[in-house]
Amino acid sequence: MATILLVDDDESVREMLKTALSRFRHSVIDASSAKEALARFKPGVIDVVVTDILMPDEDGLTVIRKLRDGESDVKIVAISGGGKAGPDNYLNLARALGADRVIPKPFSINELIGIVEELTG
Amino acid sequence: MMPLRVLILVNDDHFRDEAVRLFSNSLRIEAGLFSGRCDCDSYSGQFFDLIFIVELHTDRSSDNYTNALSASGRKASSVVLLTPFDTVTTSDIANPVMVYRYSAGDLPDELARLVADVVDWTEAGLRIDSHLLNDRLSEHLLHHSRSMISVISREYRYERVNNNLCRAHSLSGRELEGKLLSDVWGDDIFQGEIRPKIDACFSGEAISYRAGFDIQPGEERLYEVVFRPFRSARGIVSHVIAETYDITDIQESKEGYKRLSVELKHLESNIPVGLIRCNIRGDILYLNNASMTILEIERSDMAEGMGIADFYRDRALFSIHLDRLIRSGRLSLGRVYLKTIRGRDIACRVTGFTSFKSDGEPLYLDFSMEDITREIELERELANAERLESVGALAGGIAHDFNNILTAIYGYAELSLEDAGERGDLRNNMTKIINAVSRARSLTGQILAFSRQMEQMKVEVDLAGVLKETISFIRSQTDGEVVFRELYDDSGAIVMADPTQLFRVFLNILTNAVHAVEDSDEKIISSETKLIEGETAGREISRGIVAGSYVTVSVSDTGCGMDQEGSERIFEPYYTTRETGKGSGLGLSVVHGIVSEMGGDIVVDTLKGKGTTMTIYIPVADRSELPYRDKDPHPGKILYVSNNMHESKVLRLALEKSGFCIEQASSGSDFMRSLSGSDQYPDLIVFVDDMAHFNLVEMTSLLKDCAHSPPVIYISENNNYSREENRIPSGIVKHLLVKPVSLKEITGAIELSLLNTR
Repeated sequence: MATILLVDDDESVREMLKTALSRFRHSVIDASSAKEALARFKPGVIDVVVTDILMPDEDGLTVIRKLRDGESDVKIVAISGGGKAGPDNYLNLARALGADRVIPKPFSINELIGIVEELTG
Repeated sequence: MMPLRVLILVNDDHFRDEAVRLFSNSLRIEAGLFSGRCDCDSYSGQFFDLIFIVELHTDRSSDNYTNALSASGRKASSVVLLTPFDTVTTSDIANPVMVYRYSAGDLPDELARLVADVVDWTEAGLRIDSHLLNDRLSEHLLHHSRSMISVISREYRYERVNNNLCRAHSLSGRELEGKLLSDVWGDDIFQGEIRPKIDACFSGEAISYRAGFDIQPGEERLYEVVFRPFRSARGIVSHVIAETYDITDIQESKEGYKRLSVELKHLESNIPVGLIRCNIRGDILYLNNASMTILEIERSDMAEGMGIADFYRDRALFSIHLDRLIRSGRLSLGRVYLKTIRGRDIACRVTGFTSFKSDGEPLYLDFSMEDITREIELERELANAERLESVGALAGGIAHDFNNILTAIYGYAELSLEDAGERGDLRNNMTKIINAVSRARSLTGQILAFSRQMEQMKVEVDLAGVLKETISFIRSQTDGEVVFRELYDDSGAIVMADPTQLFRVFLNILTNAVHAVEDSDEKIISSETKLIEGETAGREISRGIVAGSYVTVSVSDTGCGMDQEGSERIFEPYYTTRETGKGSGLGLSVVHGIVSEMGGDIVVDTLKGKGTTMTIYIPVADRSELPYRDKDPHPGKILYVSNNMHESKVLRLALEKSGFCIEQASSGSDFMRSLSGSDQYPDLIVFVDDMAHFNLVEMTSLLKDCAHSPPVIYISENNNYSREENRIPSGIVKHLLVKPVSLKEITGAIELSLLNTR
């Protein structure tokens, strides 16, 4: 059982993932923006951050960068439905910024659960 | 020789007998007639070669001397006046007059000498002599000539000089005449330069040379000097006539003209604009190098007898243009469709001008032309690229949002599937939703690939290897109906690519080729790989100089080909020439996206009814820039369980680079053989649920009997896993992936699984 900070601006995705993760007995704190996510992040409490990349205002890459800049070793899973920033793909950038795993949307919840369980050992 | 007709006019009757006697001794005088009144009118109707007028009285006014002169002037070629007076007016006489003066007491002696001279003159050609020395016209010419003229005697004296020469030497005629040339020019110049030439001229040779003098101090100018021999009656050169002409300006003009001509010729030869001169019917009279290049005319004689009309695709249009050009004198055509002498279609920018004669009639038609075929092609390519780019951006945006929606649908369907428990109808419905999501995911994946937003891994790939695998797969699908001709260069070029995507590129292009030859009698698909330099590639794909090398893969078919619209729109999503339902219309869009993402390009060469060649350019991996990877000497053995041979080969191509050893099993018995018969037990099993008689449950039951159970990555074709989940021992399946999966997803899962087991 892990505490997960779930960041996605898409409410339907957020709700679905919250339901799925809770069903596997994980505790979920959700945020609909990067700003909200960073406000809700508590070092030592959050085990895994699952963040979308493309969001209005600040994006998921900002979340990852700020967490890693703050030397947090929290596990990070980046999820994205595609998109490109310059010559590189967002998920590649997320990995480069320090995401432990990346998953392109849409994905099976089993895949996400598997990854969360792997990361939290 | 005809005897000379001579008339002697004397104004003293006493002297006439003496004169007749003297003259008759030496000359055959046909008209030895006298007139005391100098009345030469009495000889009207006669013409004389020579008239002597002898003035004997000092009282000139009493004689009709002037009358005699003017009358004789009309009747003879030459006139000799023998007079005691200093002043003689000869201005009324048109003919040359030689004036001899005598002293009053010496007349008989003078007359005797005159007779002797006349004999000499007669033989020498009196007319020439008198012409030289006395002709007023000659005088006029002499002094008004732009040349400096002198008559030089055998003693090297100036015997006669003209005004120009005097001016040049700042001396008067009187001062200069009679002077030795050595005094005028200095002994050194005279002996060294002038005399040898004058001597040569005295020996009968005309001499001409150019020399620079600074007659005016400090301003050296160029002169042409001509020495001509002047011969006396006996053929002896008595004088040299020197003519010196300032040719500085002429020379400069000549050289300037020559230089200008060369420059113009050079310009005309090198200017990249075609220039053609025609007569008013449009027949070619002249064409420059550029127009020959544009019209593919190898030699100018090939254009003989041809007209501009012969290069028009539409001759009727030429008639209209010709008419307009002659009427208005000028014609500018932004784009004219022509064909070269070889029949190749080109587009040119043409401007025509009419040259008119002074009477306003047209004389020539001159044309300038520029080949803008490539320009038009580039414009079109740019427009196509921009269209693809904008469609791609739009499609990519939609795919992104759509993936979010699919994520929610997918997730809720999976949750509902669990909630359905034993309710078969609900499970069935949920499975169908999940399958539909899988299809939708495949579609958004393609759209993202087209819009270059899909994640592609980049590993070193042997491009020829992937092509061989793809052709072998396609060949197996065509039941031997299509002939495949493969040609591989031996460069062994490695590219940085995602092997799965590369496979997809080749698969799409080859599938298209197979469809294209479906209705052809001859079903041949040829492929060729080549290694070319970046510069060549840059030229072929219309980009600037590109560093490095490229591998090109050309796939040609003998199929139906495409028209221009088809070839321009071929990479647009949902543009398809096939019947509805045959082909997604996304295949080549995806190919375009993937190849562009690799930094490559595709060139389509097609003609309706003649087949198509698609050439893919992919940059060769610069090995010096490849990341150094500390390869694990034994990273692991993977058992790939699937009946899809080509997928496993693609996976092998990707993973063997990293040192993995891949073995394939395509059935349960294969699987058992692999586990028991091999020296090395697999570190990982990738199970693809695509076998009719061997599923995950069966495989896990076989694994249960093994002492050591390796982790399993399960790749589902249709999410069977959810259905079978409760029958599979927990912990065995480490990763679950649903098709379509990217190679990146598989390799990511493999690396993570192996990492966790170590």
